[in-house]
Amino acid sequence: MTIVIQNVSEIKDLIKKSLENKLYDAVLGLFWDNNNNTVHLAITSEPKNIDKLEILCPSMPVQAARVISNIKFTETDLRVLCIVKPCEMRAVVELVKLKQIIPDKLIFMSMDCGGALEPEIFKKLVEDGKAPVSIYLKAYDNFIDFSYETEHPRFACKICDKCIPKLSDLRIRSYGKTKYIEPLTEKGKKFLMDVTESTLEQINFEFYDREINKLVKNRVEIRNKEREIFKKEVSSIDAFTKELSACIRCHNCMVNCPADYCKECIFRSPVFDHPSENYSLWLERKGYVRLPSDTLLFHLTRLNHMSTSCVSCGMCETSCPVGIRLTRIFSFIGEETQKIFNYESGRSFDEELPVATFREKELDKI
Amino acid sequence: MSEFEPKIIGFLCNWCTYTGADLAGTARIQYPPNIRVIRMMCSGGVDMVYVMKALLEGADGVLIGGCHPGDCHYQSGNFKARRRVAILKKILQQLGFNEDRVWLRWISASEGKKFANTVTEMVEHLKKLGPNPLKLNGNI
Repeated sequence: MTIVIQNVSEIKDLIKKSLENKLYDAVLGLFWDNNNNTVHLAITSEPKNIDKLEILCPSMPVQAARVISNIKFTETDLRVLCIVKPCEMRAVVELVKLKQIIPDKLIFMSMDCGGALEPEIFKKLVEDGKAPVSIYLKAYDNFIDFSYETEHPRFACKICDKCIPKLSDLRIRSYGKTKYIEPLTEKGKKFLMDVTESTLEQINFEFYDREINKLVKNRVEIRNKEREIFKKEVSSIDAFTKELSACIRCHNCMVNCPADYCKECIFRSPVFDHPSENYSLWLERKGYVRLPSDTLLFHLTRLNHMSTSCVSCGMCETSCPVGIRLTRIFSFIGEETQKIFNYESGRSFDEELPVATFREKELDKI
Repeated sequence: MSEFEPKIIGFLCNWCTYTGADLAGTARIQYPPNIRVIRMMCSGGVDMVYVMKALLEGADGVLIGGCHPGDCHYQSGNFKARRRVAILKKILQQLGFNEDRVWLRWISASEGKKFANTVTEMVEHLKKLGPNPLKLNGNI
């Protein structure tokens, strides 16, 4: 049960119609900036703004799930159509389980994702007149994976083997210029029936899935290779310290991480504003104190507290001002901690969060 | 040169292990003085950030003591602690830090002897492992 679309702008027409017909009150997604040199996340209720909407866009300036959980939409009746990338959808799933997003009034549209570029690279390509034409069309229309030598996908996208949305209400598939909007839930189906007069078609996606499986297989291989490199390079605590050596503890990775939702986080509190007498004690004992202190503790704490919910979106790395390769640390270590509990972040609404539950008989050897 | 004496930070649950440690004392059971005890209301209240802070500040080992499974004063704190320790150990292991420096043990209020034995065992084990490599590292 799917709608076939000949051109991306027809998807925009559907969205515009859903606003005009008051099916939804607002649309949240990536819009072109007034200067047309980059995209930013925004929410709009005006149908005319949909012209500036970019649905299949190789940029992720912020994590939409993080933004949605900040807004919460609890004190309003706004019904919002949210256009999110698959990793943002996985983060939405985690945040729904953490009770930070209440999805009742929201509908999520996601797409088979061609990945994203670092925001500054995206902006530069647009200014040079290159994006979205080349990269965007290639990655999103033809399933040709990025050429890693000449193009610059984010590391997180390079190793992403979960580029197909599984739990959004609607999924956009691309095959060349032809797009398909496929409902994955009852809510999505109702939306499509309300917004279009044409009947939904039953489509055999065998040809399509074959192509996409090839791409995913390729990504799994890249991921395995990068994991090996990571394990070799970061095999000791000294190597880990070296990896983090440039950290200035600005907390950007935490602020932009969708899994770091906690308002009472110890690193948002004054706990680490140590009184000066502590420094004199440390100097007595160690003779040398790094400033700001506790950078390693900060990252280890994040690993302990959120790695079981890490969705590998790579926003930590995108937001890091000193270029620490955080994605591979969190993605590969998160993978391991999730494995203990046979859990996978963003896989299902029903799986319990590992740290929110327990079994009486488990982990005998701890 | 004097033998290396490891320092252990113990996070002990008020209702079981701390009382067990108290019993070891009142029963005058001998055990090494290498442990510095911090009383917690429950092993479920031990945030792993405390454990890591202890390790980064140079503790050679951390002992978390809780009630036996099913005996938690707050029903399920020790089960939650067990999951958190499992995550911590996995992370330390990934980073090539010997995760055996962190021990989680169930010791009840009546097991003074077990507490003394656990501390003795742990001290011996840590002597074998040698000092914590992060000790006195001002760079972290």
